[in-house]
Amino acid sequence: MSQPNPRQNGFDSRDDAFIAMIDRYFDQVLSPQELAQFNHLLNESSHCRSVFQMICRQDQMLLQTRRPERLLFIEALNDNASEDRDVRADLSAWIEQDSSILIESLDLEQRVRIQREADNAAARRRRKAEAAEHRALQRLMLGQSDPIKPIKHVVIPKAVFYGTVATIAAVLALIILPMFESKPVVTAPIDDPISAPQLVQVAVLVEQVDAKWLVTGSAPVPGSALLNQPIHLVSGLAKVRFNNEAQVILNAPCSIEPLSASRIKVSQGALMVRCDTDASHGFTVLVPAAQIVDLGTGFTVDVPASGLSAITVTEGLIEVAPVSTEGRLGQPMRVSTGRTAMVDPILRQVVVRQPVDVPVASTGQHLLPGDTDPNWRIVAVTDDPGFSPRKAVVVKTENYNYDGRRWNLKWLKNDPSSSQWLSFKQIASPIAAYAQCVYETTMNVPDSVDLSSVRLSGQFIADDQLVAIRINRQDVVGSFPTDPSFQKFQKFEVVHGWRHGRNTIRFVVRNTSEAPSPMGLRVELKCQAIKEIDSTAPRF
Amino acid sequence: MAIGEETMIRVLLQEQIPLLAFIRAIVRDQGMADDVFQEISVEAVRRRTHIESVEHFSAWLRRTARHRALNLLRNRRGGAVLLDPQVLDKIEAEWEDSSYSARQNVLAALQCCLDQLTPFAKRLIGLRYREGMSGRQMAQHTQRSEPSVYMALSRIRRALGDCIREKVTVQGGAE
Repeated sequence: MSQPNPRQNGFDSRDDAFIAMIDRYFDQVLSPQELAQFNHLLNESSHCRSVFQMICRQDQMLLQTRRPERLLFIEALNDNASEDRDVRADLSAWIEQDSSILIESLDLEQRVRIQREADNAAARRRRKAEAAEHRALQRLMLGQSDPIKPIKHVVIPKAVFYGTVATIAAVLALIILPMFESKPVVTAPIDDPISAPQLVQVAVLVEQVDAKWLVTGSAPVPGSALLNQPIHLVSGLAKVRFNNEAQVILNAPCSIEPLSASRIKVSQGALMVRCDTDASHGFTVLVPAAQIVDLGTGFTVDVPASGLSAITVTEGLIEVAPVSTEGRLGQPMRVSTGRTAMVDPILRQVVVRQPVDVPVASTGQHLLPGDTDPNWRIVAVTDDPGFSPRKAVVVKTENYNYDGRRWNLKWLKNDPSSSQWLSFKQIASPIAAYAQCVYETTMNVPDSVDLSSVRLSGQFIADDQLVAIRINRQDVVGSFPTDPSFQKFQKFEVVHGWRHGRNTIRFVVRNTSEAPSPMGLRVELKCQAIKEIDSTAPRF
Repeated sequence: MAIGEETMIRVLLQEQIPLLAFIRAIVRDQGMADDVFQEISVEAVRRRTHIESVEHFSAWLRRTARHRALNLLRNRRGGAVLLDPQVLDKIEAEWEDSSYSARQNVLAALQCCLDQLTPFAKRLIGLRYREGMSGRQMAQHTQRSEPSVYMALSRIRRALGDCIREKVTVQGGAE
């Protein structure tokens, strides 16, 4: 590029205002005039564009340290990504380390500030007392007393005097009585209005595990009262009991504000709510763009820093309603056990989803040795160019005749209720040294499910080695180590590569020995996905 | 001749940070940027037979990312496109690619440079990038004025940029 490049030439303090403008652009707080100026600068100045590009890249790297998990899609496809993972692992470690530094520095800062304020107040009191003492001493030494002013006599009618006194007394009563009433309240009533201006106790910290807090004042300990003010759990777990008996477990990082004895606002974080008693029913959780009301249940709430909030009902029933930007409630939706309500904070929409099982067959399930498996085929063998795809057969692993001898394979014993070994024939046939064999089954993903939610989990045993799992002919899982005992299942999970309709799932098995040897595969599969049940857009 | 799948994935991996930065520059939201990147990665794998070279692929990625990002913004309520089309044209044309090793060097340098920040600067960086706070929220949190927070962030990033450049230059010289 011919334009000046900040990575070569650097940028200096004159660019600070423009960088601040970039930040305000991302925060969407530029006024129309500022936005026009921002566009003008980017359009006219290559240097500004270079600074913009540099800051965007730097921001991205800093953001990556916050959300590394989103990059797994590409990394899973590339063996070379391991080095990149190491780099980010280091950065994650830095973030962990930094959070402790952050806490320590904040604690220190707070202690210093409180101490400084206390010192200043004491110094002011001391100076005032000294000044008063000094003035009294001066008057005493000089033999002075307060000047006597002549009294001016004014005659006031009795009616006016008594009337005035009564008025002053009434005014004083009106001023002073509420002051006594507004002293801090120890415990809030359950139906305490959320707009109560004073700090009140609304909950109690019951227990905590490795918890670090960011709070005003001292960090809470088990038994501490929690007030209606924001608190931030930086790390660890904490169990809180609200005054209406609702129990909430916070999982850090978590930013919440207990609003009253029966309401909590969650800005970020994961929490689990239990409302087992009658008194706790009606407990309300506010998340960005939605309100959740318990109707006698347990549920979890996950509010990420950005993106969709998820509320999953573990037991019972809840009501979720979108909330407009003006704070008005939309049409509530009831969500029952096992279902998840997703809240889109931008669209202000609630979508209810439910996990569903996607049918997929394990090898040889509910069949007998020698049966062909209608759901599994062997589609390719590398040592046989003339091989044609065929149905796989359930293998007899014990006490069978082959080549004039009785054999017992050392494979894990078949279990027809869950899975069995498959090969070409009832008696496990040998394949050539280092040859590979491809097993295939299919799975139909309904159009109604969200593809990004399809999760195939399973376990396998292979003789000799599973070298790849392919979804729709794309490798999605690499090779697994060989288990020479052929007795232990190895687990795997596939979360991408899916499409609606028919999907092929292939397992590539390799003979790792230098001589022909029996080949077999045993797989147990389970697939779950999320299906949209209902959704609503707010109509205000 | 189409590029191989391995090459395609390598390029996607190399382009990850610059491309995500480019998308976020348009949509101003990390979650949306992730979604767009995911979409175009899948689209790239699907269309790999039509992509002739690495250069062609890089250009295709940026062009597709821009269109997907703009479509996503238009389809979202309140998702306004704030950059003028001619500005987007210039930014797209000038957005630089990065090599895998260069990115590794920069990430390593960033880690060192973050360690050298003052506690207050670290606190601001944590609030901005880990907590995802806006300038206004940071100002409330740190009890400072909004302009002073934005200015402090600018200076920190400038200092980080200088530090990274210095370290990468030294590494390059040493190699």
